[in-house]
Amino acid sequence: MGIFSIILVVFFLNEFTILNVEVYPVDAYIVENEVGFNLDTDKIHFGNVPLNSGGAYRQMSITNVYDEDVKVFLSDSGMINEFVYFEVDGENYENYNFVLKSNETKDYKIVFKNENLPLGYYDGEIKIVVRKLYKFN
Amino acid sequence: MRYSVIILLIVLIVILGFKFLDVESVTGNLVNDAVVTLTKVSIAGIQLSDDSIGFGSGYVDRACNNATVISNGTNSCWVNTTEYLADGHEIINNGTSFLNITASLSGFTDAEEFFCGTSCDYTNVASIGVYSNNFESNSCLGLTSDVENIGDYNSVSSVGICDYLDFVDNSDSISVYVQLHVPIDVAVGNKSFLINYEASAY
Repeated sequence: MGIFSIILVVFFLNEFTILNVEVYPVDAYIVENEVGFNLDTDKIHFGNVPLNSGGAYRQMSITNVYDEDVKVFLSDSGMINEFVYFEVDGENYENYNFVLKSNETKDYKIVFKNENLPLGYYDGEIKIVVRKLYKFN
Repeated sequence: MRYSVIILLIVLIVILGFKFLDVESVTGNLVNDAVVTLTKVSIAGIQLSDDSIGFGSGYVDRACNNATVISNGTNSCWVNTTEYLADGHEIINNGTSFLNITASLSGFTDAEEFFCGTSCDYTNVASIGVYSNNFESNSCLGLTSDVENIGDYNSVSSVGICDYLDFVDNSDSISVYVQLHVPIDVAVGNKSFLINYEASAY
């Protein structure tokens, strides 16, 4: 009963601290020799990325519009997973989480590295989870 | 058993507490896309190596103190030891909004560093420039007027290569050519650099 209660606590703490979840589809085409941009907002498109080029990125910014500080979790999944990372303040992260103060804006890049990737279509998802930041005094 | 009931009660109180907190703090605030919005994702970049534009091998004619080598196939004061063919970077707009495209040099602080590594006697003429053309007619409003340097002997710059790149099929692509000013005392060896093309949507 005790263990069950603890599991329940953990589960509900987890669920009730989520303020917002956004999932964005991402995709990229690796092509022979052409730079293609697509800035439509239906997906985060990396566009047409030439074979063995230096890669592609999308710049993003996130603003905390809540009246309280939040914690933001960035992650990616899908076919594109192992080729995507987050670049924040010049550092690279596979997944990234950070505290965002009320009304604060954070800029970051989502980077697609296509080193040694063959021609083709690659897709996946970027997930952004915003959680309450509880302060236990 | 008594302890289990007490723990369960604590659990329920905690759950209700968090539920209450959640509702109270989110009211009037939780709007979809309020925190993260795709409309802010309006900039994209792609890095392209000059490997895709092969200049081949060669050297500066000894009668000159620098050579000009352009990826459209022309050159001056340049002696090829292997042939290079006209080639450019093709940039296409695959979306449905007008784009502003810029180019910049990546990985070097200036063109002198690229050619020489450090300061050399004649590298004050070193530069890496780009110019743009319509690949398909009527694709771009605001191409480069001439060659514009993304790197000279002591600095790098971001250069606008197309102010408005159209998105209509058959009128949505430009070509970018690269021009190198190679000093005579260039360090020998294979050299490559990355050009960072960045697009922002209107």
